[in-house]
Amino acid sequence: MEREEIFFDIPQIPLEEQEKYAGMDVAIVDGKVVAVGRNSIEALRKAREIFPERDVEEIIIHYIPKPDADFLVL
Amino acid sequence: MKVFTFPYLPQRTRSGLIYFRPFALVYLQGVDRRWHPFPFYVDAGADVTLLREVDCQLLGYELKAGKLQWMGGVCAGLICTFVHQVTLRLGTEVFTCPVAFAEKADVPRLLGRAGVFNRFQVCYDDAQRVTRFILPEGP
Repeated sequence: MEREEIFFDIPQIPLEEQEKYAGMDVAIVDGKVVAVGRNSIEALRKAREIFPERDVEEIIIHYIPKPDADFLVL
Repeated sequence: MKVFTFPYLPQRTRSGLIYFRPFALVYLQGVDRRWHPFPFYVDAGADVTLLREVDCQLLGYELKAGKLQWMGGVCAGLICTFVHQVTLRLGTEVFTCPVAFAEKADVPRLLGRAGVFNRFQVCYDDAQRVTRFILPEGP
C-alpha cells in the first residue's frame, strides 16, 4: 500500500513569549507573533489592522495557557 | 494511504519544566465560508471538539442556536456548551463534525473524537514528538 506522509508545521512560540502572553490569544503571521488579545476576536482584529491585505486564513490564533499546572489531564 | 503529521509543541509548566504536547493545526470554516486556523490540543480523551463562546462569535455562528450540552472533566464541574455542526479542514481533508462552544471563557481548544477519530487513525508518537492522522484507503 502506498503511503503519502505530509508534514504540517505549527509555528512554535518561544518560551519567553509564552510567559509574556500567558492567558492571552496571540495572532501569528509568517511564523511570528504579531498581535495579542484577550480573546480570539481581539487578536484577529489587531492582526488585521497591521496586515489588512492578509486573508484570515493566513492568521493563526493560538491561545497561550497560563503555566498554572505541572500536568494536564484534559 | 495519506498521513498528516503535526509536531508536538513545547509548553512550560508551573515548576518550570518543559513539556511537549500533541497539537494539530485545524482550519474552521466560518459562516462567511472563510477559513480560520487554530492550533488544538489533540485530545483522545475528549468526546467532542471544544472551543469558546468568543470563537463561535468569530466564526459567525449564533451560540445559542446550537444544541445545549453539558461537558464534564476530571477536575472542574460541568461546563455549559452549545454544539454546532462545523466544517473543518485537517491536512487536506475537509469534513463536518460536531463542535462544542463553551460559555466558560478559559477552556483550552481541544480536538476531540466525535467526527474526527472515526475518520482518521490517530497515532501519538511521543518519541518523535509528532501526531499522525492516518487516513485509511477507501474501500
